[in-house]
Amino acid sequence: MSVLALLFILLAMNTGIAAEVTSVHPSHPFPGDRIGVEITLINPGSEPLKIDEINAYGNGLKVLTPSMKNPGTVPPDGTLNFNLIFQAEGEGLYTPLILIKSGDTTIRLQPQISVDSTPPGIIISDPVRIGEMNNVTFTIFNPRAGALNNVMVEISGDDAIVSSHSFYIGDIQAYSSVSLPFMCYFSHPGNLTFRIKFYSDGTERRILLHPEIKFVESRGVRIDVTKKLKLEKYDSGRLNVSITNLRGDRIFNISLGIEGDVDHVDQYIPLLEPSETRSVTLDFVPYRSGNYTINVLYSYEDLSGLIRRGKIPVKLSVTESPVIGLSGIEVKVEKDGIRILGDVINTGHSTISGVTVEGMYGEKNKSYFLGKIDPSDFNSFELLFPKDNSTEIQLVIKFIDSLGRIRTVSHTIEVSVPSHQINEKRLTTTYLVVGVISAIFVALAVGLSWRRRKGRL
Amino acid sequence: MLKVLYDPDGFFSELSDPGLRIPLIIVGINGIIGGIVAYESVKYVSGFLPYEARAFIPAITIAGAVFAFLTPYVKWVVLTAVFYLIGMFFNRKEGFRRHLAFTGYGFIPLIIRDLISGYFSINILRSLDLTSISDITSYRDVLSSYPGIKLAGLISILFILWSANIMVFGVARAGEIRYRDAIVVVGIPVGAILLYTVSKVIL
Repeated sequence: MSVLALLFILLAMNTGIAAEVTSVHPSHPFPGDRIGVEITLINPGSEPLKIDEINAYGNGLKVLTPSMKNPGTVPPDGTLNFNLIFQAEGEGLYTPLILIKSGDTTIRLQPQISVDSTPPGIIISDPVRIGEMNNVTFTIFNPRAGALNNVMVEISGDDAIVSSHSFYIGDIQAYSSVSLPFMCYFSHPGNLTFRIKFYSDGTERRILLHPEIKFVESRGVRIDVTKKLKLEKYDSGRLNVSITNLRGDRIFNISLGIEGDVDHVDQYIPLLEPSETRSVTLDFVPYRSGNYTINVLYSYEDLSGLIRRGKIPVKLSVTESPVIGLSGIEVKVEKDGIRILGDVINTGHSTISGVTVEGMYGEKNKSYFLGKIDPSDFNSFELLFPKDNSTEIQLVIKFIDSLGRIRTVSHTIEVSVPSHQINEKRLTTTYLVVGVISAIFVALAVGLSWRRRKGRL
Repeated sequence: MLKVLYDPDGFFSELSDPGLRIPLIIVGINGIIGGIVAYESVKYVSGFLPYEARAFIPAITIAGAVFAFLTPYVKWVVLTAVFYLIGMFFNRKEGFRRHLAFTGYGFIPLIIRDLISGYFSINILRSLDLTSISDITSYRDVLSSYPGIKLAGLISILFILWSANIMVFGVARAGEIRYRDAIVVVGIPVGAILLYTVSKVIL
């Protein structure tokens, strides 16, 4: 849009008077503006010229200057200026008529005034992600024929956080634009208000704009983790988790853990920049056997201070047999008591420490310290209990797992004390009787043999 | 022949031509008893052997019985040889065959001993409720601590002494040496056997 001021110079051939439109102010008026049209009368002759009358006709514009009778005399070889005021009520191209009468001569001036209501505009072309601090560029453009001066923009939003909200742009030339970045955060779709203050032809103007914003959902974070694991009860499990920040802003205080029938150690990442990926290992120990699901839990804090959480399921298959086992168990019934010996095997993936075998037979407790056992290794133990009528030994293997927790695995070992129907007392009595009879027989036989011998000793 | 048990000197003095047939039978009876006990024991124990070893059970059983049957004969010959050698120091007369025959009669008390101990051994073995081959070792340890079992050892010593007594007269008559010399001849090897037996009973 533009305001065209047409300069008419009409020379009165018989009088030598000339007139011109010196200026139209504002040159690019908005509807409602008062428009000042300055005309200059020129007298090139040597005699003063008297101006009889000046009349203005709006032709759509409201004429605020009344007709002037005998407004003045133009000195010889001089000029005389007049200011006529119009007012535009609507936009359009207007051609007000100004008639200047001097003697028999009438001069017509008909300047073109373009009244344009088009204000500057704001465009936000970047999509705004809900729940993220967005780095967005707004473009302010001047669609008018005239420049906008001392442009200032203030951005605000009822449900939005705008981090950089005040800009001084300066001048924006006609039909040109300026782009500037700003930060904003929306927890849900809403509006931004742009308060624009500018000067047009020296006149301060203020407008409010609510540019259209395209909202999209946040991409959040991407978690990559093994979805299936198979291991032994109490074995050390490892979940390699990589977290990628797909958001456009940085996230803080990223915490990763596990929910389920496992013991674990949380992992913490202080900061993740946009598009950055970090990998961590979650160490865990399953304490329940069977097929079940555990969840990798993650949480992070965004720039607004909001904490977001999520979880990724991981299927676990945990064997019934624990990571620590017994092998080569041998129970010996000895004169001194019951001796149990065997090996403790570590079938897991990591070293276990503080291995102790505690045994209970009858009322007696014994323990054997084995210490550290590496993966796929074993260590032997031996326990000696006093004799008892109990038919089983309770063995409890205590050890410290890879997370430093104390675990216990219990086994019941049957003591097969060879049972028999022999009554010890009866056996002794029988042998005693047989022994006495034998002794008598032998004594008699030996005695008789020496008494009946025929020769000398 | 039972006279040899209570009057060995009279028995051997009347034995002008001692053949080996009767001593062979006497020692053979010892062997048969030992073989039966061994056969019964191996047959019982073999039931607890691993499946892979079961193919060898008949061979093991027969080998056990044969070994047990032959053992008394070996003992007889070795013991007689020792008597014969030691007898050299006491101017013994006559030959090895006569010594062998007379010593063989000394195995009669051992038949009684083996009958008693065999009977008890088989009965004790059958009374056990074994679940594995290792139980036998365990049971042996437990049983050996019983006073009754120690008494069995002492009874065995009694019969060895009885046998030794007969052998003293046998060696004296066979080698025509004095009784006191015969006691030394028999006493040295039998004494060694007794020491071994006593140590087993005590320890």
